[in-house]
Amino acid sequence: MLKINDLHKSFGAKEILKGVSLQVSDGEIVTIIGPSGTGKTTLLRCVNFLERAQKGAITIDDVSVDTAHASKKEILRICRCSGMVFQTYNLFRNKTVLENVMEGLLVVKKLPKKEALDIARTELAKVGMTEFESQYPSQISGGQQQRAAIARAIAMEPSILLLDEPTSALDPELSAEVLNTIKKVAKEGMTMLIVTHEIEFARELSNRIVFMDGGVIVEEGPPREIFLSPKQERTKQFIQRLYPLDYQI
Amino acid sequence: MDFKFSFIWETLPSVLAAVPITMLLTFFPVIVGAVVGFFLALVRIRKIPVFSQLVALYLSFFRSVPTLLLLFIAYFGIPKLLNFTFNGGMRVVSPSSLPSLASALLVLTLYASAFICEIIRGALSSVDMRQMEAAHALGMTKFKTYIRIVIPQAIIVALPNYFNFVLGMLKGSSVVFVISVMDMMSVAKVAAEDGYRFVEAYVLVGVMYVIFSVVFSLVFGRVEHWGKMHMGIIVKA
Repeated sequence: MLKINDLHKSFGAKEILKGVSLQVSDGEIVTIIGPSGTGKTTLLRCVNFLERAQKGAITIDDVSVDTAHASKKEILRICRCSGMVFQTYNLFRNKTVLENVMEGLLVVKKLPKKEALDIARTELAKVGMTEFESQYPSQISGGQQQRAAIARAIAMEPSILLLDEPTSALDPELSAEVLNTIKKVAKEGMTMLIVTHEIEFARELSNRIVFMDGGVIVEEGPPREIFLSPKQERTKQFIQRLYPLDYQI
Repeated sequence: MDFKFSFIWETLPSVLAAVPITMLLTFFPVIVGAVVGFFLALVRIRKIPVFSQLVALYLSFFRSVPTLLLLFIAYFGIPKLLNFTFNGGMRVVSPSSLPSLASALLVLTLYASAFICEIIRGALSSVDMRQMEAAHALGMTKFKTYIRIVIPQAIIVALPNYFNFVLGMLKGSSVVFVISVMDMMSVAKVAAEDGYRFVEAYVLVGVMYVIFSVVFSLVFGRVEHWGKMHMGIIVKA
């Protein structure tokens, strides 16, 4: 379970998050949509302290931290409860696909090598990357890199998986293979918080859609409700622009 | 032409005997310089106040003053400094009474540290720092990330420049003859002056430098290849 409480984040004088509160229950898949520059990615990055929010609290399971006063130790604990998949994959370039997945298991969880190897192989099989396990990131496609990155994140058995526009750097074909992988992981009951522009994917997979604009959550609800009968004017405009013909409201 | 090969054979043993000194003057500075340079590079990258400025000053001094001049400054300057500090300005310590090898090593190490610092700084900043974010997200500490992810990649990037500098050092160390350190070059020079056989002596020592350069290049090439394989830049044959 993830609980974000009244999160405020500014870059200099520019306020990006203006008090965001959000809860994701176990097994739930929540997708954040909204125009660019509204703080979706920033929100995700604040959850695992890639950005430090000036005010607010973050709770994952039984780990709760005040973002303004979080110590290094608390930050590491929060990070270990969450997994992250990046837009640009961010695989370790000096390590093979298999070593990438094993890295966290060995260094953070301090598992014995044999055990880490078994887990890594299982996860790679899940994302269909078994045959590429001894390749380096520079030798495989973007879609394959992203699938390896997903395996790396889920191998750590996080309470929640954060996905930051996981397909924005990929062409439609590669994007589809990554989205299918995410669906597969979702079916296994992984809790997810996703930022994406893949509206169809969001509609199909999510239990709940969160629409953000201007640093606040404008509206949230089940996909059906958000896409077919949004309550807020701002949400209507956004959805209408996405589906000019099909979804005239 | 009067080129006496026998002179080369006669001089060879004494030049060979000086090989360890040349190797010491080459490898001591570049190895110590790699360690010192790494820490200096960190100071520069992390922009630690005051220290960063001091390092910048140090770098610009050692990178802009000729090595020859640095050697002279050390050779004549250190005794002067010692006399001034401990002997009230009396000329107790003279330049020739100090071990010139130590002065040479000191100067070359400071010089190498400055250059290697810049090599390492460039290499470190070439590493894609988004990998740091991924490591952070996994819950890895900064230290572990540096040790396991950033530094190994930086080393691979730095190797060509570093090895190039080592080869430069091998040849560049020959200037120590000016403060009479007996490396290959000095021994050859002394032999040349003794026997009035300058060309023979210099050809001999030139060939020696070529041999070492070629051998080192081969070894360095292998190491670079191995490094690139570990980044997937070259596929294993």
